[in-house]
Amino acid sequence: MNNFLTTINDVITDGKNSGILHLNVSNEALEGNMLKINDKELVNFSSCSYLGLEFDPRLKAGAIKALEGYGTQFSASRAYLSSIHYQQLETKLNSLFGGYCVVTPTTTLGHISTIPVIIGEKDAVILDHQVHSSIQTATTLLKPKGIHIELLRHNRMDLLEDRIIQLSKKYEKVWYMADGIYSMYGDGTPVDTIYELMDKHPKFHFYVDDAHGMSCFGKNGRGYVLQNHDLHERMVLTTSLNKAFASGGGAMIFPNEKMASLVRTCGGPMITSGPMQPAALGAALAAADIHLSNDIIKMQEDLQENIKYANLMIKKAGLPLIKELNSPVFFIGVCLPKVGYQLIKKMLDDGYYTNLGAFPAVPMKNTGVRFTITRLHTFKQIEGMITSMAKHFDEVLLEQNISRDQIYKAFKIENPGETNNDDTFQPIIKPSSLILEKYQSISDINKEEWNTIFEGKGSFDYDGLQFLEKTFKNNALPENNWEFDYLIVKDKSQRVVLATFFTTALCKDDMLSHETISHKIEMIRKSSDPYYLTSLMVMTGSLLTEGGHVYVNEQSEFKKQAYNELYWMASALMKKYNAGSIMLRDFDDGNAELDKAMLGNGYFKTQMPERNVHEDLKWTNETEFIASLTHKARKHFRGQVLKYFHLIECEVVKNPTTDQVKHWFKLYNQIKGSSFKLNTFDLPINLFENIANSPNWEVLSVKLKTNSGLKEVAVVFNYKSNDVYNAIFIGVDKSVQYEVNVYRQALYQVILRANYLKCKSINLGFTASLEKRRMGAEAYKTVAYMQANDHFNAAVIESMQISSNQNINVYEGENSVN
Amino acid sequence: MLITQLELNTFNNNSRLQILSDKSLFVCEVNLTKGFKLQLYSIYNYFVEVLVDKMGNTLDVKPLTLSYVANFYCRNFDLNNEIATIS
Repeated sequence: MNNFLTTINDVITDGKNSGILHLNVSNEALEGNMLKINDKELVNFSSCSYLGLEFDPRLKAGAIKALEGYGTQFSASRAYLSSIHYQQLETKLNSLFGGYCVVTPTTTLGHISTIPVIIGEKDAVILDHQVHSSIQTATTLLKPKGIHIELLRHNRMDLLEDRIIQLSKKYEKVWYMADGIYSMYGDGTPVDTIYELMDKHPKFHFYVDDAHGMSCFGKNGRGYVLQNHDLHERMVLTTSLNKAFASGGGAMIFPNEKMASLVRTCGGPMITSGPMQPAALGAALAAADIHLSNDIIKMQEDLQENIKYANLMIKKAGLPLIKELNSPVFFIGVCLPKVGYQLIKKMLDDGYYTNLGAFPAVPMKNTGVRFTITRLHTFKQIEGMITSMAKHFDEVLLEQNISRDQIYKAFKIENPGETNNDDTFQPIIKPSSLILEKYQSISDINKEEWNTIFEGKGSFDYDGLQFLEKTFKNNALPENNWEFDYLIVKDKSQRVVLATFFTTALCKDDMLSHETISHKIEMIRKSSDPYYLTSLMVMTGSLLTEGGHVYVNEQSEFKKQAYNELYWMASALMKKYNAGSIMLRDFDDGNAELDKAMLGNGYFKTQMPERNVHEDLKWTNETEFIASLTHKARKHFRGQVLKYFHLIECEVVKNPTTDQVKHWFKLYNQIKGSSFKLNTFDLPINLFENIANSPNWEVLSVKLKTNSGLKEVAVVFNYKSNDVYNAIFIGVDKSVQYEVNVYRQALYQVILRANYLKCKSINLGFTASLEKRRMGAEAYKTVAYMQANDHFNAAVIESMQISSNQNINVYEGENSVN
Repeated sequence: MLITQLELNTFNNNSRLQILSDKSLFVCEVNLTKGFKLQLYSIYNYFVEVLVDKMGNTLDVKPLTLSYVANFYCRNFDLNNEIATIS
């Protein structure tokens, strides 16, 4: 599984284990909105059947009539035969929507039938970042055709118009794909603006999925999008008959018969997939009749009254409703998954079933309790549920040490706290039994204290950090200026429970992505924008260090609290520097307890390249070294390294000339430019100059004996911390790399040098694990825990991973988070 | 949770009845001609009047001003007595 799927699996499994996801209803028959789960009676606040039509006797009678007439199914592709119900239903829906309708077995299949047929190779597609995944899935079918697809930040109409203008110059049609009402936060697409844009820009087309608006809004329940407009001649409206319509299937509504006919005849699933079952079609016919009658008006009014009451109750309870609208979908922000799990569980105990709104539907730290209101709810049920939520809300925040303010900040909405005078709704944070020391420079920390913890762990002992602080400031390029922050957490007895340092630096968002993706992104960076898909990242450690950056006293009873301080500090730095993401990195993989804690705090796990450590340096000569290798590695060493060893000379360079430093920089760039395994910005030349003048660094110059003398073909930059040797980075002359296996020669020279210095281990860095293993190193699986302000850039990168033969772009505008 | 008079006004008659059934206290009833009735409910710090036809159908639900309650209901009824009887 890739990182994305692993994260989804972790989140869902965690929810399942917490008893709030993958639940089973045990009722044989339902009565209204009551459910039974694990023998407990619950009021269902998760139904998308907003009008409660599933219990309407007319729909039941319609289903039974069709069932009795056609049996349980009419199994034929619609390319050959359609039951009478299809034609009847499509005729009614034509009348309802004022367009040309094609009914499909599901809305997802409808998108798959429609999108590849109506979007041409000369068209461009703009996807709203939050558009339903079924549309995103269908657009992947366009990618092999090389159709231009780009993502737009959610509902950013200002950016949309600019993109329409730009893309109209090159493409025949510019399609914007959006939801009518978005399924998580319940917010709507800006319909009026989109209609204005369609009127203004003749190449602009609109493709919208109004599944959650269907039936609830508009004349004859034709939905949120069409409540104040008729179907535009350049739009396709798609909707679900499986939500408030209470029957099944999807409906694609086209502005003309030609387009509808094209989809009916050419849409893949329309030819090859089975039809809807007669019972669902019979129910849909009855539902259509209700929609076409005046009955729908009263039902919509009843629903709106319930929605209004829910909004009022939420306001009175002072709960952080993310968007107040008249849609039946509500989202109460809780910030972190662990808060959501607890709150939903407590509400289950009180008899109310609501949903967790979590990753990947929303960013990790934008977790919330999502619930829906239907016409079947009574005010008493609504008030009971919201009272239950309010009662437990602060209790859970206190348990999980989260403040309301954090929630409002996470969702970037104003904290209306002052409107609520009830003390029970104010944030209460547990007093900490820990002492926090925060610094912005290593110079402010006691050298002995820091080195007691970190000396010999990597290149981030006291001197190493002084070096980095000096090097990565006052540089011309933004990526070479880092912010440094230090955290030491002590208990009341002054014992260190946790210590770490953070750097905040401009990073490439594809740093840990597959090389092929980075390669593509680098092409865009080179051709147009060097800072494309980059953002400020707060990380433990730095881009130039590896290893255990986070020290934790595992024996301390305050370990968990100390981790909370780590999360707090990381979040505070993210806000302070306006960073886009946090990466807590270089943890050993396989720590289930830490995985769970991180997930609960909104961090998803991602695999880093393996860390390679050479820990067997007890040998005293070449023979013993070879003996320490595996049988296979010995053969490799003799054939690939020893064979050319006599052609190599190596020296530790002291006081290099300016030209030599420049040469090192060139060698570094040769190897850096060809590798995207860990895609970072190029290191600056002043780093090389500072290394040359630093007593803590060692530069190993690897030279090849040639007819014209010695030629420097590789250079390795190393940092010695106590008895640990750290090979930080390398430069290689690629023109001779394969003649004598320069890279392997350089690796061997590092090992020889560390052995000579009587080091106990060598940190050999990330990547090239195979080569390093062949030299006796151990590869350790390493993970990072990530949190992002939003998933926009990640979504762009993820979409690039779907196919290697595609054309994904992004437009964020000048006001993006980055 | 408290529903103010202003908030009650934003809901339709059916919703107001729901709110009354959850949150109010029946105070008294006035018989009108042709079987119509006026029912008075107390909800927190204000009163609500319900007009019912002879079939028991609710025709109107509206919050009242205190002066109206004082002038209309208190003139014809001993409100204190009615409340005491109910409780």
